[in-house]
Order: sequence, then structure tokens, then C-alpha cells
Amino acid sequence: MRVLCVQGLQAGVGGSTISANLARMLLELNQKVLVFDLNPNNLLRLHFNMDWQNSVGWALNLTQKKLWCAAFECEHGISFLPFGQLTYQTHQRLIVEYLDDNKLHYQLNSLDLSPETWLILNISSDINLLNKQALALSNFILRVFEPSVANLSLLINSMQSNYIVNDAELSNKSFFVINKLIPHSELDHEMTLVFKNLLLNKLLPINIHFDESIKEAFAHKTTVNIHAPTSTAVREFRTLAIWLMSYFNRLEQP
Amino acid sequence: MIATKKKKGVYSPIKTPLDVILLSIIFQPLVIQEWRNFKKILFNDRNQLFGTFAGLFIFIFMILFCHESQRENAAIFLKKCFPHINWITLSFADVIRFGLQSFWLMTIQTQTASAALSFDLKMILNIFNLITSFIFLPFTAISKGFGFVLTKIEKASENYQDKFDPKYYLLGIFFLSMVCLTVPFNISAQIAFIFMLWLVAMIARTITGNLPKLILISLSLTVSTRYLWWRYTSTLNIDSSVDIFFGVILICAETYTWLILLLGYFQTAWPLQRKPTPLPEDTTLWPSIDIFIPTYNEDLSIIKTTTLAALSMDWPEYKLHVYILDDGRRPEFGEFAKEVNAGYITRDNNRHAKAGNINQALVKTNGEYVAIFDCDHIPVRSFLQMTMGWFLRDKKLALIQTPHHFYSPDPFERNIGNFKKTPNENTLFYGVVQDGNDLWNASFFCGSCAILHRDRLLEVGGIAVETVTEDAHTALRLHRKGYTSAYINVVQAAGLATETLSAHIGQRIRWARGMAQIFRVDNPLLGKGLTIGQRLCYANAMIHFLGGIPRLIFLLAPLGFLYFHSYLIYAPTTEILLYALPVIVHSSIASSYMQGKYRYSFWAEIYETVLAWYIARPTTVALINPKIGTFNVTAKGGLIKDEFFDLTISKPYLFLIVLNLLGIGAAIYRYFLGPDNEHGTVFINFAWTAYNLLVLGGAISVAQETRQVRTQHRIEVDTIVSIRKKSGHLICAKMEDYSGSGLGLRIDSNVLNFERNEQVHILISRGNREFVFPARITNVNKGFLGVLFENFTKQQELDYIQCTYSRSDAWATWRTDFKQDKPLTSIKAIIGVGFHGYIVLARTLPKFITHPFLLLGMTIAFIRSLLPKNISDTPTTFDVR
Repeated sequence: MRVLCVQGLQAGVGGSTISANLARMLLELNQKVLVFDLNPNNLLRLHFNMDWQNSVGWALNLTQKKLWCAAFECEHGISFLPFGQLTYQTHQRLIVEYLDDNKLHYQLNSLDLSPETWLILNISSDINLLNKQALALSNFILRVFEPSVANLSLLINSMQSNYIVNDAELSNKSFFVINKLIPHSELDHEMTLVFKNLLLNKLLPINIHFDESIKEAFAHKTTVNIHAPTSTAVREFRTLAIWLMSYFNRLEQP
Repeated sequence: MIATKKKKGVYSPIKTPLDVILLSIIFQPLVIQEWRNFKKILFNDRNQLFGTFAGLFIFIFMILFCHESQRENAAIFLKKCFPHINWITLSFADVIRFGLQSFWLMTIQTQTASAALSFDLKMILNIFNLITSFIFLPFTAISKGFGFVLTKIEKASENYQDKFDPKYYLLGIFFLSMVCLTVPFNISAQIAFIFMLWLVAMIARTITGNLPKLILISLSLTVSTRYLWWRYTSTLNIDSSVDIFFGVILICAETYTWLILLLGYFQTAWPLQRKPTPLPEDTTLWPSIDIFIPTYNEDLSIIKTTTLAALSMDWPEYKLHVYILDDGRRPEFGEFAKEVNAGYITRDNNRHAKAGNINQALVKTNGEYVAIFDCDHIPVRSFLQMTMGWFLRDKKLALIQTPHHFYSPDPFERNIGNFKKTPNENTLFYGVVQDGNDLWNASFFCGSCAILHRDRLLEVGGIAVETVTEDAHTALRLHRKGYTSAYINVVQAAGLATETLSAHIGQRIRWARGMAQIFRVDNPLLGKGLTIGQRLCYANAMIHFLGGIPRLIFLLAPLGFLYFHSYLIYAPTTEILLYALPVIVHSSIASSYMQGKYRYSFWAEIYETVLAWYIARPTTVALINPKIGTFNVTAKGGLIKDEFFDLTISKPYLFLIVLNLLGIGAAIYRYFLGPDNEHGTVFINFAWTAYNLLVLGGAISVAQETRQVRTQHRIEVDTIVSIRKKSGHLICAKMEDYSGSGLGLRIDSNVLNFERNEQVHILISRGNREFVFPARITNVNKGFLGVLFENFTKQQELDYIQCTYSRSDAWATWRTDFKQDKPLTSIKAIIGVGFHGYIVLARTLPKFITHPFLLLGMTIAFIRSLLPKNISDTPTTFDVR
């Protein structure tokens, strides 16, 4: 099982979007993919054409004492596990009553996925019990950020002391990708160079540009390779997917 | 009433076509539907009696013998496999075409045909292959065996340590070859001899390596020397004064050709193929370099690109200085230089043109090295890093030259229409000759795209000013001082070729005159300081340009017999053929083997014929008095608004054509009215004249100047870029070509929402950086977009040049695209070019003369159209992936 964890440096940088698009692209490249939404925002489902009103999800099922693994499959054949729409109280109850240190591990085992399957874990940007487990269980952490001054500051702070940086194992397997690079913004290009110098080979060689097509695809409740197959974004996600595939191939070779 | 309505097409009743009715008698509706589809693709739904029934015949045949899955693509298959048949308007000649092509596909192009048919022909193919390999078995076996032995010898010779005295070997070889060359054979012995040599050559050319090359060279030299010996000893008719007069002229020309052949083999036998040497890690050890861009009357736009590219070369900034040397003294050039931080040097006179210009700048600057670029030669950013390593490695090095490469077609390429299909005239020199020179430490300076060591250059008095080819002369002086030179055969700069044939000829006249001048003023065979190899290489470069008169002699030689009944070669016909043909065959085998990718067989004939007349006089004059003649600047970057035939320049050729045509007439006259025992001689001279006419036709077809409307040449590339629309959408595109002002982009044909005059941004990445350029769409056509850049800032101009012209790999794939030479294909091409010349000529003549010729031409074209065609693969469409 290839476990890939996608986390934004801060909320709103596009972690869920990248998870969804990457999953779709891997599927297009004939990979088996399951997307597991661990983000309480529960946005991932919207990329896969799930009803707005449908609040079903694994966390909700857990609190309602139902069978938790209610996976959905959208029309283009992608399987995903939505988080579920939780109220504040149920969310608190979930944390207190249902989650423990090995919960996710147990859950993933019970899914019983084949070794060539990609499991994409979409987690929120903060550090909580669930996210800690996700980070520990994954083979690859993809950290998403914008080429903005705010993100630069966050990054520099986190490099001094941070949950991931402090753990050698975690920091080894974590990589960065730039999202929402505005093509005609000089500052963005400058910032990209700064990030390159800062992160060196930890920064993936692919930047995702700020593209109207990505926004539109989300508005159409789908991913960009279906909404605008000729856009640059598709090529970028494809390159990203292929990069990841070759990375994992190298990793898995004895 | 109804009839008129029908004519107007107000309504027409749906009529079932006859073929459908016929089919529906026998077959089910499903088949009828299939037939309709088939007809639609093949005939575009047009009904035509003969075509429809021919199609029907094929269709029924298919129904009976083909599987359903094969029938699906049958119509497309037919179109692909019979490219010369226009299915919509079939004629009876197409039956012949169909038959011949089917036979062709079944026997020769089996592989492609079965691929197109997706039909398994393996069994038939295997049998066919078995037969052919059985026939060639002894041949292949010998070739394999020889190859094995030769590689062993080559390996053994590499490890050979013992010193030996070459004198004895040379003496032995000399005696052996003297026997080989001088012993007279009777006809049957000569036949056996040339057959054996030919066999060895045919085997040797299938093996790659240096030893087979040397074998081919020695074979060619053997037969040509033998031929010359035979000519001198037994073909001069001393009894007739006319015969001896013409005979001596011809034999002189032949001796010249033999000498050039000999020197040419010497020069190109073993190209050095020097590789770049890495520079030290520490950039403070890198030397300082001045870059000179001399200009006289060229446009600022041309200088701009070159200067910006030179400024963006990868080299420590404080060690790189770019200077524009403006002999035109134009203030706007000075302003531009100031803007981009380049130096600007002028002088108050124009003495000694480019050489004087550079010498003047040498005084005013002080870098350790000087790189010189003609103002249209745009260097790539890696130029210095690829070359400078050798200066640090070889302490005696004074000069490094890199190839001149042209991204625009030269007049030959443009007027014949073989740009990028056939290696151009230039390619041989920079691909093989300079590399061969390099082995003898004799590669010389070509005026541009080169780096010189300043102190060493000043030691020989700067750039030489005594001749009009200052570059070669400077290199000669450096070599005389004991300095070395290097040639790195990696294209690191590209420029514009001359625009018109007259300009091209003007440039070559200058070279020829200059080389002849050096030969007189500073003869490389004489004087101090040169090795024997250098002497021979320089001598060949110079003597080569004296080829004008011999070439003219060959063009006129057969007329000596046809007009004056003079036996230039006083020998029986069979003997002439037995001695002369091997010379032609072996020299073309050897040159094809050696020059393969750089010069296709027989093209030299056309290149040299075009120049022959024009360089004949200046070289002779320069040899007599080297001081006469002025320097003329080669004009570049011009426009040719209308297609025109350059009559002035082709006058000498027209004259030669008329003479040769009269010769053909004389040949016919002599054949029918002359004595019977002369038929053989008449035939040889007739064939020679016909060949001369063909080559002259080639020269004429080059003089037909085709239109040249672009001011900026488009350079083909294959890079992925993005287009950013105003709306914020990014569209993926493939950059197909670029020029200084715009791009040609290929987009997925499903993307329709582009409009003319739409403002967009183009994103191009270079290395790990990305650049954005504002542009306007000027052309939208089915997946193709033409864009024009607008409002570039200075920085963007620089960035754009770095993304395009000065990319390190900008010209990397250019030469590798050429395939290995195939002499037979090449002959075909030459014949085509020669004929084209006469078509061009026919257009300018009055109708009553040309009519019979046109008729002849049409007949030939018709017969050609019947012949089978090669199936080419269909061009691949653009895929974003």
C-alpha cells in the first residue's frame, strides 16, 4: 500500500484540491486509488460530485455506531471515504470517545487494501491526534503551500521547531510543492526562487499554477482533468503523479 | 417544369444509386450500410461511374476474403496504400497504378503494407527474407568475417608499442603500388582487376570503422592513379596537333582533379572529433574574455539579438565584456549598447574592413581572450563553457573555432526546396573537413564563432589585412609561429545564410580570391614553421578554390570530339570505360562512406558548377597579381518580394547549355551519318554531354529565386509552453517555431475559444525558471496559433532570447536529423533538380519552342505517376500528453 499524506501549510492553500486532482490523475494512469478524507472540513467529497446535503462520512458513522467504512465511488470510478458533516458537539465527542492512538492504524488494516493501491490521506493543516497518526503511517508527506510571504514566514518558523521537523523520520519523507503560483506575478516568481534556495531538493520540481480552470472544476464538483483536459493544470498534475509514481517505484525497489 | 426545378435543385427525389440496387439484390442491408460508409470515405459520396464500379469490385472482393475487423478500416487503408490514386476522380490509368502498386506492396514494401493492413504476412515475408538472405549469404559472411578481422587489427594496433622505422614500410608500399598502378593489362585482365576491387569496396563499405575507410581510400586512389598513368602513357595522340592541344588541356584538368582527390582524402581520412574539456571548479581561475561583434551596415534588430545573447552567456559577469564594433558609426547603435551595458567602439576610417575593425578594437580592450561573432551569429549561453576548457589545457593554443550554422536556408536550399532535407554546402566543411584538419593541427579560423588568444594574436600583428580572407591568413600566421588551433564540432552559434544566389556567389568569389591571394603572398607549401600535414591541409583549402577552370573544361570537353572530331582521349571505347568508370564508382563509394551525413553524393557537382564560371577569373587574376580586387561585405537578412529568375547570373550557364545542346545535335548527326566504328566514341561523348546538361540544369534551377517574405526566420522547435488567457485560464500548448517577434503554437484542436487579436501571456520555462511574455494572437487555424509579442521590456527581451536562441540545446538536434547518404537516392534527387532547371527555363521562353518540350515533360510526368510509391507514415497529430 502506497500511503500518501497531503497537508497544507495553512488552511486554504489547496490541500484537498491537490488530493482530489492527484487521485484522479493516478486513476487515469491506471493506478488503484482510494482517497481518505481526514479533514473535518469535509471538502474533498465535493470534488467527486457528492451531494451537498449528503452528510454521510466515516466519522459520522463512527459516532452513530454504524459500520464506519462507507466508501463512495463517483461516476469516473474513484473510490473515496468522506469525513462526514459533523456538528461541533459530535466532533468533540468523536475526539474524546472514539479516537485513540491506534485508531487509524486499525482502520487502515481493516480496509485490507492490495499492496499496489494508492491511499491518499487528506489531512488538515493543524497537528491533532488524527493527523499525527496519518503522518506516522504514510510513506510520503506532500506539504502544499503558496509562494506568499505569509507561507515563507510559516515555513521559516516551522523549520526552527515543528512537529515534523523535530522527527527525523517524518522530515525525511516530507516534500513540498508550490500551489497557486500566479504566472504573471513577478513577486511569485521571486518567491519561488527563494523557496528553491531554502528547500533545495525537498521542493518538488513541479509548480501548480494558479489556474481559473481549477476553480471552475471545483465549482462543477469535479476535477480539472475532466472539466478542462487541455489546461496546463492537467499537465502539471500529470507530471506530479508521474513523479510520485517513479519516486515510489524507486522506494520499493530492494 | 419538373426538369427545370431539378436543375435549380429546389428539390430532388432521393434516388437509389445503381450500385446499391445491384448490391441489395445479393447482400443484406447490413452490408449495404457498410458499402455506403466505404463509399463515403473513399469517394466523398460523389458518384462516378467508373470509380464506383471499380470500388464496388474491390468491396465485393473484400466481403468475400477479409474479416470484418479488417473491413472497418479498409477505405483508409486503400487511401494510405495507394497515395497516388485520387479515388474521387478515377481514370483508366489508375488501373495500371493500382496493379503496379499492388505488385510493389506485395514484393518490396511488404513490411509497411502488412502494418497498414494490420494483416499478418509473416509467412510470406519469411519466405521472401529467406530467399534474399540466401542470395546474399556469401556476401554477408565475407563482410562479417572482414569486420571481425578488422576490429581485431584495430585493437591490436592500439596496443602496439614497438618502434619501427617507417622508411622501409613506405619503400615497400611504394614499390608494390608502382606495380599496381603501372602494369598494363589487357581488357579481360582489367575487367577481372576492377571487378575484384569493386567487390572489396562493396564489402568494406558495409563495415564501420577507420580501417575500412582507409581501405576504401586506397582502392579509390589505386584506380584513379592507375587511370591517370594510363592517360599519360597511352591516350595522347601525338600525331594530330588538334588532338594533342585539346588532349593536354583535358589531362591537366584531370591531373588537378586527381590532386584535389588525393589531398581531400589526406585531409578528411581521420577526423579528430575533439570533445570539450571541463573548466576548473573555481571560477576565479577562468580567464577574462572580450566579445567582439563587428558590424558595418546591418540592421539594429540583428545586432540586438546577437548582443543580448552574448551578454547572457554563462561566464562570471566581471570577466565578460561585449563590444559592438560599429564601422557604420550609427548613433542608435551606441545608444543601444549603453542601454544594455555593452561596449561600443568606432573608428574614423574603414580601412581593411572587418580585419581593420577588429584590430582597432584589440588596441582599445584588454581581455585575455577575444571571441568574435559576425553580427548575425547568435551564440548559445554555453558557448564559452564548451570551448574555453581547451585553452587552459593546451598552453600553446591560440585559436578555437566552432561550426558556422545557419538557421535560414541558403539560396541552394531555398531555391531547390531541400532545406533541412539534404545537408547544405556548408555542412561538409564544418562536419568533416575542419575536424580532419584538426588532426594535423591545421583547423583554421573562419572569421566568426571563434575564440582567439589576444597576446598570440597581437604577436602575429593582429588580424591579417593583406588578403580578403583575413581569417584563414591569420590562422596560417599563428600556425607558422608554432601555436596550435582547435576545432570543436558542436554547434554553439547560429546565423543567417546569404539570401540570394548572387550574394552567395559574391561571397564565394571573395573566398576564392582571398585563398588564391594567400597562395601567392604567403604560400603554405613554402616558408618556415609548418608541419607537412599543415602545409598539405592549407594547400588543399587554397587549391580547392582554383577548381573553376578545370570544371569548365569538363563541361566543354565532350564538345571537342562532337564539334571538331578531335580524340581527346585517344583510346578504344571499352578501354576508356574500363579505366574511367572505376574511378567514378570508387571515389563516390569512398566519399559517400566518409561524408555520409554531411554531404550527399553528387551534390558537389551542382555546388561547384554554379561557382565554376564566377571563381575562374578572380582566382586566375589573384594568382597573377594578388593586389587587385576589393573586399565586399556579404549582405544578409534581405527580402525577395517576388519570385524571379536571375537571368544575369545564369547567363554563362545558358551559354554552356546552348553549346551542349548543339553538342547533342552534333552527336546525333555523327551517330547516323558518321562512320560505324565511331559509334562507341559518339555514345560516350553523348552521355557526357547529357550529364553536363543535367548538372547545368541544376545550376539553372538554383538561379530561380523563390520568394522570401519573412523578415524574421522561424526556427522549428518542440517545447511545451502555456498560454494564459485574460480570463485566467492556462492552456497547454506546444511551441513549434519561434522567431524574434513571435511564436507558432500548436494546441489541442478541441480548444476553440481563441480569437484573433486576443491579448495573452505566454509562459516559457528555461532550466528551473519560468518567464512570462505578453503577446497578441494573430492567427487562429485549427489547432494552430500564431502569436506576436508586444510591449517587451528590456528585461523581457533578454529573457526571451535566453529562452529561445541562446538555449544551450537550441541547435543540438539539427545535424543528427540527416540520414546516412544513399548514392542512388541522391542521383534521383540530382536528376530531379536538373530537370527542374529546364522547366524553369521553359517558362521564360516563347511558347512555340517550349510546347514540344512541355509535351515531353508531361509524358514523362504521366509515366512517373504510374510508378509505385513509397508509403510514408502519416504525420502524427499533437497530443498534450
